[in-house]
Amino acid sequence: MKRVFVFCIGGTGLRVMKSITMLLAAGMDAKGFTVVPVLIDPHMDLEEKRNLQSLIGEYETVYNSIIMGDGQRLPANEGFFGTDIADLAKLNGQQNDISEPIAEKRSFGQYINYGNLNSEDVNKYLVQTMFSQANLDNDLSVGFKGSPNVGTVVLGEMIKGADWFQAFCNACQLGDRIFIISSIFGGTGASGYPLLEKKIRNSTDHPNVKDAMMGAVSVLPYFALEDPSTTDSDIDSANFLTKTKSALAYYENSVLSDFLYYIGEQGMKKTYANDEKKQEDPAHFIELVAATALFDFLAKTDKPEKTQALSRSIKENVESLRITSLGNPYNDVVKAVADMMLLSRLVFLLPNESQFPLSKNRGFDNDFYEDKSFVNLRNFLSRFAAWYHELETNNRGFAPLNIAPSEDRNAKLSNWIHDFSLDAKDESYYLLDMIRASNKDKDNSHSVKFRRFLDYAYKAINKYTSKIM
Amino acid sequence: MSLINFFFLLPSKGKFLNGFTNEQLKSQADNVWRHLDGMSPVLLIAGVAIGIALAVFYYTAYNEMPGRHYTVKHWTIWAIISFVLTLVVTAVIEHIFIKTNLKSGISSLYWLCAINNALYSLILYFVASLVWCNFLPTNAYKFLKP
Repeated sequence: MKRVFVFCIGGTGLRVMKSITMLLAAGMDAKGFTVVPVLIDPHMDLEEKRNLQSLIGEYETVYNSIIMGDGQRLPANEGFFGTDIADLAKLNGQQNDISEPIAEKRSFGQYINYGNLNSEDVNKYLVQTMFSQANLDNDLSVGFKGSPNVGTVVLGEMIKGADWFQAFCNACQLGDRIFIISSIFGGTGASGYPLLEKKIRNSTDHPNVKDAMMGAVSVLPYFALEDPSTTDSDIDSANFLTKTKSALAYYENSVLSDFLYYIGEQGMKKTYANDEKKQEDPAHFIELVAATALFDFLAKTDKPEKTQALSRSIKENVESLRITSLGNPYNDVVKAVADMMLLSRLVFLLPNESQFPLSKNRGFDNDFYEDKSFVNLRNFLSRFAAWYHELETNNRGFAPLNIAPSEDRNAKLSNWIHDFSLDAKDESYYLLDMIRASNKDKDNSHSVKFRRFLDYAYKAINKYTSKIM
Repeated sequence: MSLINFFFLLPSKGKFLNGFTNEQLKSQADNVWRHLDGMSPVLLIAGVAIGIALAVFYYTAYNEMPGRHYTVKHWTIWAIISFVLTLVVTAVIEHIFIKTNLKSGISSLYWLCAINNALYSLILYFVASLVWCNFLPTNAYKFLKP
């Protein structure tokens, strides 16, 4: 099985990985690649990171419920949760979490031993020239606070001897790919991307790593932060554009990736709370677009001779994006999100659908709906719905769906996608096609009810939503 | 054996004829009875056919349509349709094909026969459903399958 190692650097990297996880759950096609996320963020105890780890954990749990059964490992299903997300540590047969050690509790000044430099030492003057006092006082446990000059020093050292990098080198095989996600306007991502890229391309001991097809997405500024003078923060989003320009000038001649995607927002930038400790920023359309870069990269078949720079645009510059304003190239994303929200509807209605034929024919009964596999799915879908709601209400909003009240059993669903008419007029169409899929299913090679459930649900939903493509 | 005996709700021929005092009327009533007896196979076949046909329709074409048709509620609706349709068809056949000058005293006979036939239709609808639920593929809820 070929794999793609996805390095998620900094807060933006984590958020984009969240979108990738959601899209994979919704059935986006990863072209048969197993996704191996590697989370790189020096920010200790960042809730966003813990949330992402738990989300990936929940994904893996659902995925394993689909493919593990009757003492055998079954091939992945088509559609929902159709891609394996593997843990780097487990690939190496390790039990410890090797994504964790990228953390530092000291301040930056302590980290570089600034205090031990003699007051007349020329190096002290050099440090003072390159780093502000605020930089030196930075508590590294909350990241680099938008300072790439700090990140370059610390991350470079952290990557050098990191267990996770060695584990990655050991796991990377011929045909595997590498994808790096980072922002260009902050600290961790902007500094981490070129460092990691260099480290990969200089891995002469591991030719599979050195010569692997590599893609990256660099996220340009897409949000603003509250005025730091009012929030006592060290991060000033007014500098984002300047930092971006500097980084781009550097990237111009130093990028080593085969494909580099630039994703950003020019106009509508939402202002978030300026709190680097929490970073409770809602999901954003730009993160979703950045996530699609991975799928585009996986669809590439040939390694180019030189770096290909790519980007994505939307058709109409509007506040709230629908299928028409997004443009046709986003149809696969709209379909995936629409599919998953329809699955969510089915998952919440079916336990109360006592006379659903598959309760008798396939054992989708109360015990099935109370089983942990189904409960895990329901929990994941709740998180998916919350994620979509964040996308929908952010600025710019990604709002292609017209979600009918979940408790309304007779709700019209033909306009489930704004500006688009589905042939399925209400939920009974999907239920009927689940039954049809079950009747056609002659596969007796396993008895994994949960796998069948998701398979039938996907076939039923896909029958109608594939019209979008 | 006369097939009219299958209509167990009907009174005996003697009891039916006793309802007519006049000999001429009695003769006409006897004629009606004989006609009804002669038509019994047709009526029974119609009832059976309606019951089975509607059950087949319910378990096939009707459940190929969306609208949660698989529920017992929809099955029951078609059972009622089967009953009412057989009732009406039987009564219509009786009125059209049995020629008589009798103006009174035969309606109850006709309706009892129609109700009886509708009951048979309902039973056949149930039996056909039982068979379908247990042995044949369908999109409907197989509530008759143990």
